[in-house]
Order: sequence, then C-alpha cells, then structure tokens
Amino acid sequence: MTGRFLCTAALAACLSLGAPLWAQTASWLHVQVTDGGEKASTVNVNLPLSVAKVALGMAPKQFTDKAVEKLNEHDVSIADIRKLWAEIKNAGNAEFVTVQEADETVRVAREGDWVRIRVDKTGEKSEHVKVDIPIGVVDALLSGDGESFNLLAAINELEGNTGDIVNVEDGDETVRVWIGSQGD
Amino acid sequence: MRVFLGIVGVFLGLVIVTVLSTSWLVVYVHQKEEGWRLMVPAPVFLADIALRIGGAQAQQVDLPPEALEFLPMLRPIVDELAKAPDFEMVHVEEPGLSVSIRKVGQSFDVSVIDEDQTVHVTVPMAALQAAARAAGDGYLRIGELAGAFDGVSHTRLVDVRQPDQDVSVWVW
Repeated sequence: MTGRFLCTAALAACLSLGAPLWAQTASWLHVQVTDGGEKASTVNVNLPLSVAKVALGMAPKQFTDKAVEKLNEHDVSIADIRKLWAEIKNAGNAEFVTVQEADETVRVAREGDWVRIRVDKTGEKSEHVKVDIPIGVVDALLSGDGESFNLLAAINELEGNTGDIVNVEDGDETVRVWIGSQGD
Repeated sequence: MRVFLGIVGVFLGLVIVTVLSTSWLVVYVHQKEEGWRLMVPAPVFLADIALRIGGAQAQQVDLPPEALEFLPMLRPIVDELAKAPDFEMVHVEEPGLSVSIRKVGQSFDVSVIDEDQTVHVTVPMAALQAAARAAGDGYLRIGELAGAFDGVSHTRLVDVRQPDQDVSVWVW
C-alpha cells in the first residue's frame, strides 16, 4: 500500500515538475491581431509548434499545395525559386530586390542568418510590413522534392528560433507573428 | 418463492449497480421570468438505447466532404494538445464581447461573454477523440460520439446565463 502510494506521489511530482519544464523548453507560435479602429479589438492565438507540426504532417495535399498553385498562376515554379535561392545564399549579405514607387517601397535583403522583407506604403492608407525569416527556415522550406514546399521541415527549423517573424501595420490594424515560450 | 425473490433481488441489484456506475447527463433550466425550474437527469447509456431504437438513420449523420477531409487530423492534434500544459489557445476581445478557448486539464473550455449572456462550454478531449473515431465512410456514428461522454464525470458541459433564463448541462 505504502509502495503504491509512494509510486503515485513520485509520478504526480514528476508530472507537476514536467509541465513547467515543457512550457519553458517547447516553442510556441503566437499570433496577435489588433484593430485600433472604431471597433477596437484584439485577437490572440497561441499554439505549441508541436501541434502545428502534427497538423501540417496530416494536412490534406490540396491544402498544402495551395501556395504552389498560387505561384504557378504567376508562372513561377518551385524549381525556379530553388535556383534563385541558391544564388541568393551564395551572394552573402546583400539587398536583392528594391522596388521604389511613388508611394511604395519594397526591399528584400539578406542580413547574416536572416532574410528580411520590408514593404512600406505611404499615402492615405499607410502600410508597413516586416517579415524576418531565418535562412535555415527557407532552406528547410525548399528542401522538398518536386513542386512542393517542405512545410514540416520549415516548422522543425522554426523550433530552434525565437523572435518576431511577421509584423504588419496596416492603418489601425497590426498583425504580429512570433515564436517564443509559452508565456511570451 | 424464495428462489423467485432471489432472482428479482439480483436483477434489481444489477439494475441499481448499472445505473449508479454509469454517467448521468443532467439538464437544468431556470426560467427566471416565469419562475420555474426544470431538472432532467438521464443515464448516458439511455442515449445509446434511444439511438438503437431510432434505427440506422438516427445512428449516423452525413458529413460534408470538407469535414471528412479534416476530421482525421483531429485525433493526432488532440493527442498532441493533451501533452501540453494548460494554456489559452484563443482570446478575442472587442467592445461588448470576450471569447476565450483554453486547454484546462483534459478538456477545452470555451467561454463567450457578451452584453446579454455568458456561455461556458466544456469539451472533453475524449469527446473530440470520439468524434474523430466516429467519422468514417462519409458519416458520423452518433452512438460512438454519445459513448464518449460515458467516461466523463463531474463535468459541467454547458452553462448559459441569460437575463431571463439559465441553462446548464452536467455529466455526473
């Protein structure tokens, strides 16, 4: 009786110690959308990356291939992107794309281990988009065969990173996507 | 006569043990304006019996193809979520409305609070797992879904508070 009680108590102690450890070590995907307009609202979504991995691993093919379809509509293939990416990686730190129009600037650059995309739109409805993607994630995303993205590998790679991935400021609306611990 | 009474006693004993050991669904309605209260307790296994009486049509519900596509994902996702510590998955805040979906233990707690009402729904993970299992060949097997609540106990599944009435559904 005492032995069983001690085993149960030890198991409970391990589980209660394990939960905070899980929270600290596991990576979480956080999404925050705020609308500061007339009807101010905030939406927060938090998800363990391990769940995103399972979901992507099981996702129907037509769901994961939608991005590829979109690219194909613009006559861009994954093979083209792989070739372009290989060139970009070899080029080292550089600004690859700069588009400057009267009210819009688009910049795509590599800075160290990051690919940074910046879109700044001025005028009546200003919009600022900041996307920071670790190079390893892009490598992983393009590591699949044929005309498909390897989303699972990309999520695996994201697990090792923390920080903001996407920041969008569109008028009163902001969108922030980041990887962090549970409480971030 | 003694043998007969013995058989009746054993039968009644079995009925009492079965009824006490099974989960009960309790529906409670409080109509505030008219002042009446209604409490309906029913053993969960009765739902299974009712479905059997209702025939094949009552036992299964056709599912749209979109749902069939994503239902197989449900079980591994719930399995993975079960391993996670308690956390708030979704929180929406806007004037007059607050929505929260939390993982608490082995359940999901959904809470919707607006100016007129407060709604709390508890969805046991076992029920979601059962939904994934119960989906097959283009339809949802209701019997399997109802059976999922047989293993759930002492849980408030639904709690709706409105100015004119309160509704609660419990599993005991």
